[in-house]
Amino acid sequence: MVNVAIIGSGKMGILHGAILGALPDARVVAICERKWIIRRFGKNAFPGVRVVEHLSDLAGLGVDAVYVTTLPGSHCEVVREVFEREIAANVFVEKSLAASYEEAREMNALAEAQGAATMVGFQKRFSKTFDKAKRLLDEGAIGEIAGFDAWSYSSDFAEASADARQSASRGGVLRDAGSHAIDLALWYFGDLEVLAPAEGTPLTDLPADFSSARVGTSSGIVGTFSVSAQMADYRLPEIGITIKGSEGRIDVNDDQLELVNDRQTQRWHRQDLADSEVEFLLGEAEYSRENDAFIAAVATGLDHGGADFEAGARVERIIDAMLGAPA
Amino acid sequence: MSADEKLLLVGDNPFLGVSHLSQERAKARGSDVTTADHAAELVSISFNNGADGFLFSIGELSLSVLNTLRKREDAASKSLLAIAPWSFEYVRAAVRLGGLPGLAGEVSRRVVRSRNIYAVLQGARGALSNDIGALFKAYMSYEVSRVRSAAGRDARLESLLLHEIVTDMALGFDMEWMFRAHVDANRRAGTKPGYNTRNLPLLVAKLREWGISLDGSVIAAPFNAEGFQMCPSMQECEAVLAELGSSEVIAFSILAAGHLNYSDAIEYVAELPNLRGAVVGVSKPEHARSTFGDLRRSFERAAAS
Repeated sequence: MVNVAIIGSGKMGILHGAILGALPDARVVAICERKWIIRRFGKNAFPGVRVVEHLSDLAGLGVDAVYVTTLPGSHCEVVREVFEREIAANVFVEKSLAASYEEAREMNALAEAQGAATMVGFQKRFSKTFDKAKRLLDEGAIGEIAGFDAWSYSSDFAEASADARQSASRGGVLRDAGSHAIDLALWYFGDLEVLAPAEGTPLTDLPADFSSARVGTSSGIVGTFSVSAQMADYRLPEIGITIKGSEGRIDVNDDQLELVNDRQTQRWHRQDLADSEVEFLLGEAEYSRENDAFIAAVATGLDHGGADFEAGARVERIIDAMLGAPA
Repeated sequence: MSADEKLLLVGDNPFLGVSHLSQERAKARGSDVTTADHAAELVSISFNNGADGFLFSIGELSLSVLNTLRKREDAASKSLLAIAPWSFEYVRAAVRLGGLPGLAGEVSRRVVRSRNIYAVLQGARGALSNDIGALFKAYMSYEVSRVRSAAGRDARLESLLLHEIVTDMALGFDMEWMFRAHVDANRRAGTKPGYNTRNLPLLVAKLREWGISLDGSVIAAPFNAEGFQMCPSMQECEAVLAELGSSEVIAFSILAAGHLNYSDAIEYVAELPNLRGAVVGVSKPEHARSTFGDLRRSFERAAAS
């Protein structure tokens, strides 16, 4: 049984905690939360779970793994303290990994010294449509990859154009919404470099309106990212990529995957890919697979197939470069 | 149960801009379907063409629909099944208001403004005594009063269902207290305790483990010929349904989120034993005219065979 502590009981902390609670090999033993009102009622709300204020309160509770689901700006500080206090060696951090590439590198170095499992919450890698696209690319279904256009759109701040503060607390639109698309591109195509800034690229990603960038790989693939949290038509956040190859094209998003090449046009909806076949379903099935994989990695020491801190740091490097931060 | 006794409900997902097949399709429907007048018209057409009731998440749009139906006297004999809390709206509000504390403050203010004396007193008691169950009951009472205020005191509010995100989150955290408070809230409202879930076997197992009776409760769960979102498996969901005689199980996602063709979808659902009924969303008047009659005839054929 893997004993887990959740650090931060916002939306993602609750989601992961509930899924972990339903897994046969995991148990949530503690929640660490700084907001007193949540602690006050949480003690009665979460039966059998210790609700504590400070990270230091988690020491000695026999925690095998922590889930860091606080706001991205605090991730580095939290992870540093988790390791310093020897609270747990295995760490899951909700995306994005850090507030900068520098922080991400430090976190990765600290984690490597522990030699245990790390994961960043890039759950799109566990989505059946994106996973199928990865397999098709690896099989050469569209030949040599020439380029891609990736996007991440949501309406989270469509009604709050003036409220940049809440967006900033979530890491800005690039880290909050764009990091999934960047992680998928790195997963699919390998390391990327940011090319000359696209027209309109902001100096910072505030307010949370729109960001875009051009990137390239050493093998000559050129791609674009387009990210916005103010797309009113997107009731739910949507990540997608169109990938062009020498022999065809792949269009993939959360809902479906289309492969067009000189031999065929094929479309798979997530229903065709048995997307919902999980033991426990809360939110999207990809979260269940993600948590299952991380807990299995903690229990067995085997690779989880998701994004580890090293992969998370690569995402932060791209984001910093998009924002014009010095390397 | 005869085909006549099946409860056929019109759902509100299309009105809320939801398409589980793809966001493309939701966008393609346009914004008309998400206006209260259009939605009320579709519900009204559905009622006149075989729908027995309306299953909806409690929010501004559904309340406007109920208000319109009340004025037209279109819903007088129809069953209303309300889902709360509408998690999507609350999660978005939490994002805007800076997390759970901001959201809790906003909801508290709304409860006070509602002038629902029971909800205000129960909420105050819960806040002062750290009684999370009392707070939950205050909140649910507030939601019931919103529905009754919009639909009219004579409306047939049959059940108050826990939203699937909340039901399944509470299952994951073993929140027995929430289910008990939910049963109490329904008892006080004179409605049947309802649960919306995508984890039916787990829900049934947990309620039995806690000794919470399923008799007379309403459970909405996905049932479709593809097994889509039937967790942990289609077989286990069907097995639980087959032995759940004392609850009213309503099938949703019968089209596997739009992935199944209509006749295959209906045929599968009609053959399921122990199903109290089904809920289907409609986005066009022609759908509203044909859907429920087709569904009723399929149930009749299945009952006759």
